[in-house]
Amino acid sequence: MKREIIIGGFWLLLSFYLSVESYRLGLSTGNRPGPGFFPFIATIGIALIAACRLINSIRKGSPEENSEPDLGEVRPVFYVIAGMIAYAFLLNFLGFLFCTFLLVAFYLKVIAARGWLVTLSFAAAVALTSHLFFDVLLKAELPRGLLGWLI
Amino acid sequence: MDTFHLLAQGILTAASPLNLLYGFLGVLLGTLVGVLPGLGPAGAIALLLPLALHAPPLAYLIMLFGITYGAQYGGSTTSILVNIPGEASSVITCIDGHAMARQGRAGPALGIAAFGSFIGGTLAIFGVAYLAPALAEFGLHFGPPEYAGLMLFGLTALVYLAHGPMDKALLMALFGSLLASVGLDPVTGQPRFTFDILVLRDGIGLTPVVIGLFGVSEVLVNLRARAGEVFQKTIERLLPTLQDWKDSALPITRGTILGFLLGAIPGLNVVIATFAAYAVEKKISRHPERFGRGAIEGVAAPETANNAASCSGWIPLLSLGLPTGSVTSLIFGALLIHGLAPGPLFIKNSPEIFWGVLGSMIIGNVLLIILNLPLIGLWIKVLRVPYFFLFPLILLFGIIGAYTTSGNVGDVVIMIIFGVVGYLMKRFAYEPTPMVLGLVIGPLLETAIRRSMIMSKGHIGIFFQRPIAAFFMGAALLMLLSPLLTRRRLGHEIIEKLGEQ
Repeated sequence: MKREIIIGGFWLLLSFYLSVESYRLGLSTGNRPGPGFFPFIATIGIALIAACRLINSIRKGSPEENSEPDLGEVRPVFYVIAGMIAYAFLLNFLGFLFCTFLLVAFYLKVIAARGWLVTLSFAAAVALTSHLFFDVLLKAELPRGLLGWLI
Repeated sequence: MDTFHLLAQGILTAASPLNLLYGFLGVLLGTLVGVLPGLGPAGAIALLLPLALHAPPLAYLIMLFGITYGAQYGGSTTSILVNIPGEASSVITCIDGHAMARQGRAGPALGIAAFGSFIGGTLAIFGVAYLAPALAEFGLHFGPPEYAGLMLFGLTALVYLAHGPMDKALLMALFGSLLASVGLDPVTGQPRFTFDILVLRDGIGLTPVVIGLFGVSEVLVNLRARAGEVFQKTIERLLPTLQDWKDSALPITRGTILGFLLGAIPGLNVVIATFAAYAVEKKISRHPERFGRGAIEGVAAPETANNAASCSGWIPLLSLGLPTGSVTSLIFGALLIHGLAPGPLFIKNSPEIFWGVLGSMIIGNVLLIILNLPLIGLWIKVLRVPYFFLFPLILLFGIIGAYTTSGNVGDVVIMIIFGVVGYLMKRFAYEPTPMVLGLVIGPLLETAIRRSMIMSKGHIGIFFQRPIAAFFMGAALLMLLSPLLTRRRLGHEIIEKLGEQ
């Protein structure tokens, strides 16, 4: 029930904020619907559904879900997301080749717990192959970064 | 020129070396994603959307379509050999397909699944070739109010037939429509919800969102997946016996018809068609007790139905421009990237694309028989690749795909955000498909509504005064409001019941 209340509250707050923004954009100009008209209707719909779900979950008092997060499951998810965020922010600076090597090595070592030999050789193979395929063959213009002089 | 000749022309177009190569790559990738649990056809198409900027339109679309029906073939392999469906549409095949594998009859199970898919898929293509142009002719009478009604009807049908609670699906559809309004207003050019962030001025791109929702989130959910245990590692005889064919002939016929009819209904996905085909066979069988213990009819019917349904599912999109699920929404997006406006004029304005794609599907079905039967050993090897080697590759392709869309790291960040959103949606049982459909048709729906209201000088009565628009609006309202009165969704018990089976 607690989880449903949090989710319902989130949708209500989001729809309230966005409906105010939509109203500010203008609902109509004369007989013409304005830029805020369509998003305003969508936010009102979201707010109505969220409110109904919230009221229902409070009224019915559904049994408490097992909301204890399973750390064994959440930890690798966190690592995967952290790796991608780091990749996004380092891509222009370090370049595609080096970033890809680091990302794959990080995933194999930290999440899959592979040995160094497998980790480094697989990461190097993926980085080189993807560089040759996307950058050289398909000319995808991926950032070269610090190692730009080398490749 | 009659339909048969147009289709023959399409086959010739699809048989050109470049189209054939793309078609082969499509069905190969489709089989691969069908075999591998953790990345479905929607994820694969999402990862390949950025390629639209570089590839020729017809060849590119041939590849994307190849992925969708190729995945139906591949999905049956894992269901039969490992008892893990590669695709949701092969869930029901696990029951009798895997039971056959345990009896040492994996070969005939795989064989009848491939032949049934071939027959169902090919016959359904002929159905699409005859029905879609006729429906498109009808669609030519549509103005903005009819178009707005049609899109609302499609969106509502998807919400009504959603597996989970209807209010959650509706919330997702509205949220998707809201996301679609980020960026410059299509009528006045005024920025909406951009918060002075440069990457949001052009709107939230479909590509990073769907890569996040279908690619990244799938990885996050499947991180603990292990490689499948293949029950029968060597397959000696793949061709079904004469008795197998006798037992399967009628189920294949019924599976084709049922799959074709159910697949063409907006909102009813391929999975429902497979469950329905299985349920019908079990119901009319003289020996229903054989089902679940390796009855070949339990493989033939659903495997035929899923291919027939996956083909007929294109009818609303190709004839009226109405996407009906996640895969059709993505193809809709791919058509828009190429400047091909999906709608009633699509077949008339781009006949080479329409008939070329249909022709490629016939060739693709032949290629899939070759890929799936003699090369079964290869797919067994693929099944045993550990997931920790696959997931970094899927994420890497996703990052490259999102980045190359605009050459902007901002799109990679959007992809990551929607990867997390997709993961949370899966954990809290929110379906991503209505959201994607809302995002894809949101701008078109908004434009159609606004143009209609300009026509009527601000009166919403225009949606109920014109017969076609009134029909669609009435049907949409009925689907939305009837559960409030009756406290149940018509026919939903059947879907739930089939799901439980």
